[in-house]
Amino acid sequence: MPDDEAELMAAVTQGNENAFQRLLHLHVDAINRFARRMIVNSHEADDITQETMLRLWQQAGKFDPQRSKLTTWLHSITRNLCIDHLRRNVRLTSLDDSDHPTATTLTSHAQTPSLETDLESLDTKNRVQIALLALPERQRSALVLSYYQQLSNIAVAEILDTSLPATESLLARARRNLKTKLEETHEQ
Amino acid sequence: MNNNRLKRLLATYGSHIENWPEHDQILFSEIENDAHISAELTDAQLIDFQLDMLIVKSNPNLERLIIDKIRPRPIDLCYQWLFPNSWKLAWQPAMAAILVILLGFGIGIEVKEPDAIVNNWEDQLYWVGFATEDDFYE
Repeated sequence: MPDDEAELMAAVTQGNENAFQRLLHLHVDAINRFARRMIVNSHEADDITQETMLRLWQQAGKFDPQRSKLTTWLHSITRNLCIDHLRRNVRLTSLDDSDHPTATTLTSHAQTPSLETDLESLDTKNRVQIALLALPERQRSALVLSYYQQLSNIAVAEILDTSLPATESLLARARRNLKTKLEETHEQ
Repeated sequence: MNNNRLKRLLATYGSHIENWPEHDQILFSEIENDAHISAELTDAQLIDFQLDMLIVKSNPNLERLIIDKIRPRPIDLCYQWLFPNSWKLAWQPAMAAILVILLGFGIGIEVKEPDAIVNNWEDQLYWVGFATEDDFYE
C-alpha cells in the first residue's frame, strides 16, 4: 500500500471524511466493475459496492496494512458480499468445483438466461457473460480478479484464501471450463 | 522446461503479458520462437479475445451516493446528542431534561389564570338574564 494510502486509512479511522472521499475516488470504480462482473443485476452490484465502501468507512479500524493491501481487502469484502447475495438469490444446482463443466452450473432465477435459451440470437458479450456465470464461484472469482481486475496472483490467492499453486490451478481450470462453455453456447 | 512452463502460463494467465507474474514475463519473448506452443497460444488468444468483449462500465453516481450515506441527517445528530453512547456525555440528556423543566416553569409563570368571566356590572346584568330562579336563592 502506498504511504499516502496508509495515511489516508489512518485518517479514515479517525473519522476524516476528506480522506474517505479520496480513498473512495481511488477504489470505487474498480470495486463496482468487480461486483458487476460477479453479479448480473447491476443495481444489486451497485448495492454491494456501496456496502463495501461503507464498511471501509465504518470498519476502517479492522484493516491491517501489515497483512494485506487495501485493494485486496476491499475485493475480499466485495467477494464475500457477492457470495452472500448468490446464496440468497441463486439456486446452486451443484457446489462441486470439479473439472466437469456440466456438473457445476449456477442458475439464477432472476436474471441469468438459462443455457437452453436460443443462444444463437445472443451476441458474443452475452455469451461470455453467461459462460462466466456458469463457472463455479471460485473459478469465476479467480478469473475476474486476475484477468479483469489485474490483481497479482498473490492477491488473488489471499482473497480466495488459498495457496499460490492452488490459485494457478484454479485459474487454469477456469479458462479451460470457460472455453468449453463458450464452445457449447456457440454450438447451440 | 521452459516449453512446459510457457504452456502452463498460457493456460493459466492467457496471452496478455501484463497478466503474467512479473518473474515469468521474461519468458514471453520465447513464445514467438516456439512453434510447439502455437496451438496453446491461439487457444489463449481466442479466449482472451472473447473475454475482452465483456466490457463493464462502473456507475458514475456511486461516489456521490456513498458520500450522502456517510453524512448523518440532522435528526440523527439530535438523536446522538440526546442518547450518547458514553456515560461521559450523560450531561447532554440531563441538560435537555433540565431545559424542558425550566421551560415548563417559564410557561407556567407566564400564563395567568383566566379572568372571571363576569367582571363588570354590564356583563353581570347580561348573565343574570340566563340564570334560573334557583340561582337567586343560593
